Amino acid sequence: MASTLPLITSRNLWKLSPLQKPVQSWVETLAQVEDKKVGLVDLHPKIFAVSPRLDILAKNVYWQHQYKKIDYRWVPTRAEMPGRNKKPWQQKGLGKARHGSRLSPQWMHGGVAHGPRGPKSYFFMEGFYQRIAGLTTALTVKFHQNDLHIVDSLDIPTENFQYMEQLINERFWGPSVLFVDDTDMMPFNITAACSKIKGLTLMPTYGLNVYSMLKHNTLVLTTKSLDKLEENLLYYLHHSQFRNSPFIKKVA
Amino acid sequence: MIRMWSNTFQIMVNKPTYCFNLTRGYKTRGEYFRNIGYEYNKVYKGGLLPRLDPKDDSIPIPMPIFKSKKSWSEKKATFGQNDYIDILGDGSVNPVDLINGPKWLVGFRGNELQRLSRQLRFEGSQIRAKNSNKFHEINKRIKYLMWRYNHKFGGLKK
Amino acid sequence: MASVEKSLLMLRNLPRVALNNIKEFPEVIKERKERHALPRGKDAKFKLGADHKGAAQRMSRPRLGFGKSTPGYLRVPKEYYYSGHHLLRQYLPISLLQIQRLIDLGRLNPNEPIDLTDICNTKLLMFDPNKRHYGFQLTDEGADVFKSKINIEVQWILSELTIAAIERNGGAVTTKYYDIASVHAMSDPRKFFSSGKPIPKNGTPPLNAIEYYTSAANRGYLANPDQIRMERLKLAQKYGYELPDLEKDPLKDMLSKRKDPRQIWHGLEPGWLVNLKDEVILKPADKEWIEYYKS
Repeated sequence: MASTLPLITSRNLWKLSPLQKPVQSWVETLAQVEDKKVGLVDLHPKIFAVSPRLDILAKNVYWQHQYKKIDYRWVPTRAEMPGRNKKPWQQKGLGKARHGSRLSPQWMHGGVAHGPRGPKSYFFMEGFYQRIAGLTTALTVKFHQNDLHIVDSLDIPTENFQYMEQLINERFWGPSVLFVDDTDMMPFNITAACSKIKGLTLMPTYGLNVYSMLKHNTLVLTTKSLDKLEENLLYYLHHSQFRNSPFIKKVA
Repeated sequence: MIRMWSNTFQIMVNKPTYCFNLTRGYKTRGEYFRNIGYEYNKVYKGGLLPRLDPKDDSIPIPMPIFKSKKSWSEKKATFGQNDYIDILGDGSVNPVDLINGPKWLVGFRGNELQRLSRQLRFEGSQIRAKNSNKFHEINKRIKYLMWRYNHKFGGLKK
Repeated sequence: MASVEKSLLMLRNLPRVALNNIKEFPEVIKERKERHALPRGKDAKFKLGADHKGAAQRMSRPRLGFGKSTPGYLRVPKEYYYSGHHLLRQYLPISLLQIQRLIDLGRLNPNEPIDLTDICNTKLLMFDPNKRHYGFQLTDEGADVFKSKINIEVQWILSELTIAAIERNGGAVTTKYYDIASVHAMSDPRKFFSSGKPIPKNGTPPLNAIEYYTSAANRGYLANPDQIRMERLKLAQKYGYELPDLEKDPLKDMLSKRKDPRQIWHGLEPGWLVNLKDEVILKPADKEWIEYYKS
């Protein structure tokens, strides 16, 4: 089998510094349950061998939680409570405490002081290059902990979920696996097989993110998605026009 | 002098000329009650050790029923998808465009005054037409917050 | 690089990096907590993120500009006498008399161009770039006794008498700016070469010195040479001496020697690396470095 296959698939690494060596990874295949290597690929060291800054990962995950969070809690103030704002009883002569309104916060059915007000957003935009650093760091960490696997394609012979279960158990890919391909429409067999097992997620390349990479035990990339990833990340790493440009939403 | 019996009142008056029994019109309570609502066996009295012997008490230890968090539901498994679409996509989409929420809040963060004024700027005329009371209340709140911002020290709550 | 490889090797034996075991730096977490830590419970309505106790909590801080006895709009603005004093450039004074004496004693060679390095190599002056000494200024003391024909380069000249005294003897004078990295290198070349760094590219003068170094009256190194010729003639007529003809001078080559604005030593270019042990000069071959060090 090995004689027919291309043992080393050559890849052009763009902007490779002479001081850095490319890192290498096996290419595997999902066509059979047994783990057989199909080839060997070079990976760019600027993406797969950067400094493992775990704080950058944490910062990215924090941003992913926060930037789209909207808090809808709202309670009315005394000004917004229904009812009359009349003085309940006269100031003097009744032996009762003085009160000016039935809607004040110490009253039952009164308004709330300092309550949560209205839909509130926690939006902020993490720096562009911090987010790129988050992606490269996550890929590096996954690769060096042996949790990143590169496959030729996501084609599997059957739509039976037991096949996928066997394959993952055979290769020790852990309970959760994230499959990434460059296409929007995944092959039918793998979608059918993954839909019955919890923890197997399919994602297009543009949907890849730091949180999902850290949530899943194993990351499986196809060679096409690897090319796309490297191309995009290297393009933005070598263009400085995005530096220090905060996100500004246009006001209507 | 009045004596209370279990089901009758016997009234004894100083004058011995007439003496009669009255039947009580209330529901009987049976035994003598004390500490209503107190359950004797609710609190464990078998010692200081935090361990229960099932023979002593048939009441099980109170524990919340296990509820699965469903951490691999579709929403949770794909949380964060497309957050980096401006880097990994073709450059036409920004993650901010994919936020679900009120239009005046998407891609914006501010205090209550800023939020309300922005809401009015976005859909003020619609609110005025549809719900004039709401429009009035928003304006009232803005007026209060402006007063608070300018005349009180301490600023606005973020 | 090595540190990255080392940390990646360590990563192989560590537990899997996941959502539960990543954390930001403690400073960042603390900062964020402080920012979000509003008082809870009954205190929440009194302290809107304000400090515990004091004017801030009670919201009784005065308006901006009203904290002191005189309101801000009536207060006289202050200009501190020594503000920015530590940022000024210093030029160590050296007189013509001193130069003449150094030449007479054989400490300076008048047959070669004299610059900052030559004066430092006499080891008679307390020159220290760490005290923001940016070079030497030439004073006119001893202008009458000055007799040598030299090509000297200093950093600052205030009196035109100094220039006249040098040019009357057929010499040439230039004022040139060096940035602090270059001054460090020039003040002690042996120490600099042994550090193994390439020769630095001289910086451009700061904004407040551009006018000085582009004016021909100061013989600035960025001035127009034609205007300098004019100024030489003017000065000769003003002080009443005849300018010696440079063309017929036997030392013409030496006297007309000037450095490139980016260059700091004659014969050596920025970017070169001098190896004193092997007595070799290494030049950059990479296209990007050549582009960077280009004048």
